[in-house]
Amino acid sequence: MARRRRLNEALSAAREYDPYTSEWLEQEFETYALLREELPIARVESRGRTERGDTGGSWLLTRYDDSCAMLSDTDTFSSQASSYPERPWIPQAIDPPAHTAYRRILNKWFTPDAMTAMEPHLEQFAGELLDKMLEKDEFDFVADFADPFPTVIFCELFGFPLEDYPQLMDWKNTLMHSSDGHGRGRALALAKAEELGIELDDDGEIPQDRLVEIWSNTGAALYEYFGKLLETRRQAPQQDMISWLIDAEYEGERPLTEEELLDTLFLMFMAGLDTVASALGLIVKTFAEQPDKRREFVALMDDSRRLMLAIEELVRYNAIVLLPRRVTRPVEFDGVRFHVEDQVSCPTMAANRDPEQFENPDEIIFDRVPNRHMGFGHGPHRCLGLHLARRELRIALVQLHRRLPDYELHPDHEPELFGGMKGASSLWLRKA
Amino acid sequence: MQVKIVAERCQGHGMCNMVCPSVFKYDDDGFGYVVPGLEQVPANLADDVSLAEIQCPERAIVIES
Repeated sequence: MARRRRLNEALSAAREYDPYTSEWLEQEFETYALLREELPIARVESRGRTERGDTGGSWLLTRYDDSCAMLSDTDTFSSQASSYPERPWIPQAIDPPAHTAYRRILNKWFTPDAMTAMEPHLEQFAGELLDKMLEKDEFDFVADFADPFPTVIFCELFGFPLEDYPQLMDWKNTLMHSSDGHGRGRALALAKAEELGIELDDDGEIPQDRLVEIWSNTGAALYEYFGKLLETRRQAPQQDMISWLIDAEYEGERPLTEEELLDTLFLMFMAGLDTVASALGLIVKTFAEQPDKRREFVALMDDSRRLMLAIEELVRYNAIVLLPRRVTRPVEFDGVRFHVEDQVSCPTMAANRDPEQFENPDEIIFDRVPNRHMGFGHGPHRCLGLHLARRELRIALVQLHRRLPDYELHPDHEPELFGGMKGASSLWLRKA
Repeated sequence: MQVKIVAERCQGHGMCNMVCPSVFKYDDDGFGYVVPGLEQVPANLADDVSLAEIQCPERAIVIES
């Protein structure tokens, strides 16, 4: 009976699956564990947030092995899986072989050597922000550090003018966090709804089917901005990624078209302004809640080898990304029959807690080996910026804990968390 | 100990280079390769090469002893 009850609970969890809220985060790992045991390939009813179409259900994979298999099979599982403000983003929503050609261009910019050359600047900028933050005894770690550190660096690398930084962050938050628990994202989306004359529903929320108007409107503004930026750089090239993309050649044959440039900039913008900030916020929240683990980290962080493994483990433990795919041909997957156009989602946070792959998956084990985690994705679409992300996380965490080995969550300010591509949008700490 | 990287599997995560930079490097496209001459792994690097093999997320490193 107990077994049947658990299966029924899993069926209900699949039906109610909605990772795009802050409430979801309160029991996400228990729910993923339940689904992994009872329904490792679960039919879920999505809210249709990022899926093509609207009401269709999709499949949810919670096992590590299944997720690897899906993400490696790009013929069957296409990355062109969402609706996009204009066109699919390059290279994230493009499948091989075109994906391979685009990545060949972009990989050259993000090599480990190029990222290592940035380290002195990363160290210096992290130090500046932290010194300023720590003049106070209590502070919002996200506002003072986790948000600005990686995103300003990204704007510099890319060539987004820093005076546009607040506007860029607002666009990003409107597009990515309009209704997932992110306070600023919600406020921006509500303001945009008013501007566009969208009526709120009885709960004071923007109706799901109207959110797309807000995304389109914001996406159009962004495309226009990128278009102007490209024009400026064509007139006066700089030592930045935008100028370099303008000069890049697809398969050594032709320059990128205007549309290709715009779609690449769009993806870089969405990926570069959110991920490391989100991971940093969640990692430091974890450290505030688990002081024994924080002390262990402080004790090991001067050993470069142990530090390298520790950063990987923190990324495993705090994976933030949901990876959607679209089925392109009928296929039987471990007995489950996928149909053409089915959506399949692989939450990396679920794969990274699979006990079949990671012993004691809910515990941080800094010297975990093997640790083939999925925090940076898997297969051809693995995170393009991972060499930068690793360095930023390492430098940020070491510099923070050199200056402030002890801290705690502020008792008067609850952390503000958001679901989906999850993270913390506010994390008040105080010196302990 | 012989080591190689299966090129079709490598996605350029860079784990091998972090664990054992003297044996594993990157080509211009960001994918890993074994430094020529070190396919036959020197004894003092064997532990690091083994760790790289274990940690590779794509299981692209193959060791034959």
